[in-house]
Amino acid sequence: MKINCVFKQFMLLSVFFVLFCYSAIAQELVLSDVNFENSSKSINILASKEIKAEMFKIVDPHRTVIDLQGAVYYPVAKKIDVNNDVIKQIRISQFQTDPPIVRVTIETTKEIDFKLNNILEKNNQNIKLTYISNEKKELKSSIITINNKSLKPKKVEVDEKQTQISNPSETKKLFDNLINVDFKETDSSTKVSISGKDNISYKYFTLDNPDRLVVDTYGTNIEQSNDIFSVRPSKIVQKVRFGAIEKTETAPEGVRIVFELKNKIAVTDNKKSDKNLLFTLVPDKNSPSPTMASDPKNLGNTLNNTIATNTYTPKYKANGKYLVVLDAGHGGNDPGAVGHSGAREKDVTLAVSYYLRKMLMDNGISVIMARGDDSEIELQPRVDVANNNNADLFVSVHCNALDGKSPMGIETYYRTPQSLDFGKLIHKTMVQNIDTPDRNLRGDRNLFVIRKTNMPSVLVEIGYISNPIEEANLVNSAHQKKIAQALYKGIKEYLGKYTQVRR
Amino acid sequence: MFLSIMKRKFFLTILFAVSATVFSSCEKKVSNTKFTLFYPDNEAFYFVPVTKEIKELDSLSEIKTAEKLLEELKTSPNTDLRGCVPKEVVFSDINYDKEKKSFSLKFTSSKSLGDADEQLMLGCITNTLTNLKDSESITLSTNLKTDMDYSEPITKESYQNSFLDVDKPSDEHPSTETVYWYDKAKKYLIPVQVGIPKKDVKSLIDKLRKGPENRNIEYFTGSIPEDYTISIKNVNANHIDILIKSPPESDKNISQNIQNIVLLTIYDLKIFDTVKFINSDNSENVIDLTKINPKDNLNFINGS
Repeated sequence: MKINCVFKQFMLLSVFFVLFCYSAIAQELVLSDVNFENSSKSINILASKEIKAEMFKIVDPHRTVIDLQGAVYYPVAKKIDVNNDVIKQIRISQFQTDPPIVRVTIETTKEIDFKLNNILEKNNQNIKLTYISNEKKELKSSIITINNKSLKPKKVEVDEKQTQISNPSETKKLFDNLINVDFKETDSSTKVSISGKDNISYKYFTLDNPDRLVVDTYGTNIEQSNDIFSVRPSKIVQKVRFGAIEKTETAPEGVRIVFELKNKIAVTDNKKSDKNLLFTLVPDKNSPSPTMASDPKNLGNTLNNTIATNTYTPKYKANGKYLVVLDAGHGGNDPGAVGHSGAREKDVTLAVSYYLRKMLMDNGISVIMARGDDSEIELQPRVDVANNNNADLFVSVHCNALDGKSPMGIETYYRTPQSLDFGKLIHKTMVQNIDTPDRNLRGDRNLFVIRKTNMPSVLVEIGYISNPIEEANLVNSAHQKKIAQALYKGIKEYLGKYTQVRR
Repeated sequence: MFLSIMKRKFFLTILFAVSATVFSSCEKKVSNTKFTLFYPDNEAFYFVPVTKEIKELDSLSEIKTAEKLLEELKTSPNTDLRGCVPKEVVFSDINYDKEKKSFSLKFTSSKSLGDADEQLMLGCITNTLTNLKDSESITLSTNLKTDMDYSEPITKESYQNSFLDVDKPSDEHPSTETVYWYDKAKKYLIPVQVGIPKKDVKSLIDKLRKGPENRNIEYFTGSIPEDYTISIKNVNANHIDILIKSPPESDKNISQNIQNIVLLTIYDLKIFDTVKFINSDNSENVIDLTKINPKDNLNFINGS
């Protein structure tokens, strides 16, 4: 009787457990893979449940972007080189984590109009993607297949909200109100002027991820196509690009001017006249100024004043957590450095990163792995995943190596002044906790990932894999955990300076 | 007969004169030229500037000079220093842009390089080539899988001996300047970046004496002996007077050496054109830094 009762309880718990696991899986829309089939010229997106897609185009270079709302892509980033006559490359990345969005970017050889049509094939939900070359007006087709791997296949919802942006200088000029964009730099601001032959009807707004100021002008045209900021750098604006606004029911055609910003700004409309618009852009005091130091024009100052004031304050994300991106060096066909006994840098960095990930997540800090498995990921996507997700910190884990007689020890690299405090803490906790020589915290040495990330970032060389003693340590899981623990302490202490890390 | 002798003498004289001219012009073309090359120390911790006399044509183009120096970097000059270009590395497409004051070159390797291998090689190349006249940056490309960013020219600032004190607050030192400290064996003078109040010569000279205060104490030592006193007498826009008090019966070579170390540090500040040293015996020595480069003989060793 008693056994029967225990058995019943066990069965009940098991059912609850299975239901719990199922609901947890069912809640998450996982993009398991994306691939391109050359024979059928199709892009296959394998998803776990129904998916909502938003598509839009951008130019220079020509790209069609499909944002898959609510989707999670665990490999974080992937690149497929197609290089046929229409599609150059397909890139997939976890564009945003909160709420999750996976971005599929199709880079094309020319301006292409894509059209999404739903096709339901057995258990797969396919989107047929047809495209028309604007130059030759020839019809070609390709297929995006979204294979639904969930237990309950559903029809894919596709939001064809397409923002039609093409290069206006190539489109037929319908309006005579030619506008011109210029700017002036002052000590504290960038003043952007837009002048027209006639009165300009306009609206403006800002966007983030990445930060942009968008000015839509109506009934206008533009012959200017060059990026004035590439010739005369600005402290605030990275670049400007122009797009044509298609006519809608509520607005006429016109020119969209997009200012890509180096940081968040406060913008003031100081219109001089109806023909001469003037916007004053000043850095938003409440936000970090990460990219200012990465401007090559500021390089000298940065390097000469490496010990500048830290202006960065990490912010909780919408889910109330900090976000740390962990970058396990190398991977896939690139083993990184290989020790005398055959230890591979890529395995050590991944193991340490996973230990660190667990420690961070157990303590209420969100983590994205820039490389989560043994795959080869270029440096740019590793940076993109941190920048696009507005991460608070970026930690790149590497092993050092030197031919010939190899030293031992830890080196930490940082680049921007805002990364200095973080670098100091990480290096300090590393040398305090790991029994190996302190080879110092060092400034920039042209390392890609710490040059291109917008948030405080460090690259930690956790030891010399080329040194036999250190190699033996680096493959030891207890030592790997110790390193992860030291890195965790540094991260925790850094974030703790701003507010208490959740326990 | 006399005429014949005279003719012969005249012919010989002409021959001698022509030969001498040709010979001397040949002699002039081949000369020993001093170059500063940078090598890592044996622990691969810092870069050591080494002056070498390299037998070469003095009319060497910038590109040929770069080729020669890159070749020199492959082998270590002595047992104190490491060679910094792995033997598998081959350089090609070496170019020089006079307007941009920049070299560009490609390196390929049959074998992948460790992070430190690549860093050391870049450091030695960048420091060595940007030390040449009219050269400020290097643009590199490679066939290797790399963690480096080669999209922008590399300047010497990236590879200075810069080690930060992790125990000090970030805003304590508003600027970094160069001091010349000895290595632990007191054999080489090493340029090291230190944080000081902006362009403050007194702080800089204090740093020369004190040496490193942090963990770098394992690697460097101060370059001014305790029994020497250095003080600044007078400073104006382009000129500085420095008083060096030496102990009684001090070695003149040591005094001269100290003067050179101070001069190196002042030279890198790039704010003074002239320096006047006033010695204990009131003798004075004025040095025009627009005409003399005190780095010309820094860590001189016999070259190839």
